[in-house]
Amino acid sequence: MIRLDYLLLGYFEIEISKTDISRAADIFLKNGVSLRLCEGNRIIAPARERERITSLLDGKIEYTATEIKGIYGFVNRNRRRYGFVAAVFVCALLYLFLGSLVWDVRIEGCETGREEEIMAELSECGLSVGSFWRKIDKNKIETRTLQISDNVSWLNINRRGTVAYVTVVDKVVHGEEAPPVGYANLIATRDCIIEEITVKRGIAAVKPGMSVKKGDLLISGVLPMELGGGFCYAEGEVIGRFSDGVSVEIPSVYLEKVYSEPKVFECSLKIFGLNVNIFKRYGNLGKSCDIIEETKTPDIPGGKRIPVSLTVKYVRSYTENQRMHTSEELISLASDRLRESILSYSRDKDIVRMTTRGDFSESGYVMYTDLVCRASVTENSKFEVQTETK
Amino acid sequence: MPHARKKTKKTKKTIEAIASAVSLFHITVDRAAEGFVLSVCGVNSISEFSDECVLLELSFSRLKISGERLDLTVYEQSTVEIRGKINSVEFSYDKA
Repeated sequence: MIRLDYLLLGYFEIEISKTDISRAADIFLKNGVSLRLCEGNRIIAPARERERITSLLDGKIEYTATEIKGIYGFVNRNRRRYGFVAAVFVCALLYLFLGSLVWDVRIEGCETGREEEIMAELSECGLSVGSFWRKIDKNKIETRTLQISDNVSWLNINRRGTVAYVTVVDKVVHGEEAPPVGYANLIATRDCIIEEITVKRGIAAVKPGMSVKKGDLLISGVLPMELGGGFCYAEGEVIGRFSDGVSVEIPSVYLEKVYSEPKVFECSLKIFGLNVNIFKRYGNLGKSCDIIEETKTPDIPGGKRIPVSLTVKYVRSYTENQRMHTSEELISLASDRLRESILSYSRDKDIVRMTTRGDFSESGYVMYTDLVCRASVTENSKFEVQTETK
Repeated sequence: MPHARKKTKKTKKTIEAIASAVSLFHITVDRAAEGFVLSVCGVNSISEFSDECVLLELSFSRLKISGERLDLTVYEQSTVEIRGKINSVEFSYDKA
């Protein structure tokens, strides 16, 4: 392995026959020349000793010397190539300039999906891709971000190279919510049959098995005299069973979009937050068209990002033609849409029984589902108490 | 001044005499990636050098280092460094 000082300041190699190598080593030792002998007959010497070594060996020992190698040798050979020197200088300047910018901001420690929100808050406070490191005051940005953010309780910014690593701790609400103020009853939100009733505060006005209508009192906030009288904010859970229905209608006639080939009308390069417009076509796009924007970023191993992306906008014109669904298509579409509606409807309810049927109508196809559900049927109904003054 | 010049010459000769009388010989050994590295100070000359053998002449003795893939680095002031898989170091009193 070549020594670092030889590599930087230049070195050269000498080859001597194996029979003469010992004599050469002895000459170098006696004359105080520092060099290295290896592989039996190869000598590696610093470039500064070239003249001295060649003068010691000339006429005494046969040898072959290489040109000067290492960084010094390379620079020396290319010193007249001005374009190369200029390119090295420009590269050095680019390296220094690009190293002074923030290339990426990586958020750690927050919930998935909140990264963009935190990035936006950091950008507002002065830290974003393309910012100059010299202008970033980490303490100020941390303090400002904590002031404007509602969900972050602690924030720390670390710099590793050209990447800013932001560690975040989300706010966690401990303890129970504050008790409600005022007085209220719990009333029924729909006609149903009571299945379960759990009272946390107040007096139950119904029992399981009773049938109630929308607006009927379920839990009263008025306390009876036997229990000391007074008023409270009624609290509890009442589960009721009720019938409901979901329906979808699919029209037979629909407008089909027929798209033409996509055409590029704008292309721009984004570097460190700066938009560089490469290409833009002006003119009317037409009424019937879709505009698609596609952003491409280079793939880096390890899932890393670089602050360079290409944005291309395409325009796709279309014409609308009237078409008719077949019966199979109508039923299939209606089933899909009904399934989505039922899923959305039953997010906060338990479905006990479901009956589905469909009918063809003049304009299309209608699919119904009759549901029997169990769900909470309470809502607060506040009331005020007026005291009489005598 | 003539008296000062005579004194400087005398001092130089004294230093050379003391230096030749005092042997600067010593060896240090360290582990290295390729085996061992042996530094020898006080070497007068190198009699033999090859991949398997290095023969050094000291002021009052001879040193033979045997091994495999031996590298020799020559430094100023009679110091050499031998690197490689050193199998044996032989010290003999008689100089050839």
